[in-house]
Amino acid sequence: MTGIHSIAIYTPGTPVSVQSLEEKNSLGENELTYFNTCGINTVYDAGSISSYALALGASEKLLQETGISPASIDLIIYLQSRMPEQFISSESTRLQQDIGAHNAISFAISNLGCADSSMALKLAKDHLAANRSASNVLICYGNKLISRYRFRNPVTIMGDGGVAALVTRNSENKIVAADIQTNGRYWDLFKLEYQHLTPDQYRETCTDVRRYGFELAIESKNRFREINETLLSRQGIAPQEVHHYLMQNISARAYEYYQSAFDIQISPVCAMNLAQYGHLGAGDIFLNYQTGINAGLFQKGEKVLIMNNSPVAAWSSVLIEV
Amino acid sequence: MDTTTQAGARTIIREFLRKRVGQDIQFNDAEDIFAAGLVNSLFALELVVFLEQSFDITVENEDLNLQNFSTVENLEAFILKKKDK
Repeated sequence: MTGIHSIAIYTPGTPVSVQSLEEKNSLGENELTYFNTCGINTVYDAGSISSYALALGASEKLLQETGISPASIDLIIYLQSRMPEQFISSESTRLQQDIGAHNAISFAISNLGCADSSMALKLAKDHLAANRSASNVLICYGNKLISRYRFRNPVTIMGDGGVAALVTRNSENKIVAADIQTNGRYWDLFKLEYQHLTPDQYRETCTDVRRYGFELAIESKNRFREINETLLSRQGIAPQEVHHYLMQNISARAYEYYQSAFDIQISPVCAMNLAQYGHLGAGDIFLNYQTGINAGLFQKGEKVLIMNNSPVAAWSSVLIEV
Repeated sequence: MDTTTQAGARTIIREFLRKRVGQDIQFNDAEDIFAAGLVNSLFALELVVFLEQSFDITVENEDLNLQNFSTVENLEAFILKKKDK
């Protein structure tokens, strides 16, 4: 059996009210309305701390809290920042070096946005199933934009933070199944053209807001319906046997959309974390799961279905048994 | 679908949109409803659920071209095409 042994969240810096973000003054009327109603109150500003340093900080915190020896890590799955500090060099092996996981293999996952974390959980589970000698898989991620604009119109507001999770052979927080689908039709629906610009000018853009609000929204409903039906029926689990639904933290409107589409309740931990941290990219689902456990909302034996998607475009569901 | 039903489809679609948009915003059957500022995912969901339930169709991923849903005329043509399959 494979389960999530522990999760660490690393949010150095100061919580900042989104109302005080300077970029707010540059928003048009529709953008401002969305900005003010997306359900985010504060984000952490990590200042000059890089995405790599956030991932490293979370990994070190996890190792310290669990007492797991770095030498016992068999695999490191580094969720690549959308904007790495350098080209060519390897942040995944840098992290292996910095935490002293000299017996590990280290590599990175990228390009699936928030769903990178679902792919990491799937690979961790598969790696432990395929390698009898392996015991510990470290997944880590740092969310930090190089752009000075935190608002991703019409989606969310980005916060800074690092996340690490340890996946081991254990029966608690068992990763029952993870299914993922992608569709290249939306590959550049969101993008940041960086060549010939200075970092100060970097700004992520949605290339077609209408496609995002209509085509992708409806396709996401269809995709999640198919993924969830397939995943649950394969496990012999009826939808009503799922105790909690989690998602990544995008906006209050996104929760409302999926609740309405599937007649489900998204766990309140999501909206709570959204309000406090904003969007932490691929780190959200780990943050939400940990909050649910720590708050005592998720009880032993309950089933948690984590729906996690990216607009460029990937959809994933991971079933966890607490 | 016969002519009577076709006329019915257009009326049903128009009534749904009028209720959803509100009486203050005027649009004709050829006008782009998304240009009226209705583009958000919740509206998209409402519209698709309305179409699926009212006309007993399923909106598939391959149907998700915004053009199919942008005007009353296009919505009617889309419904007729789906019912004809």
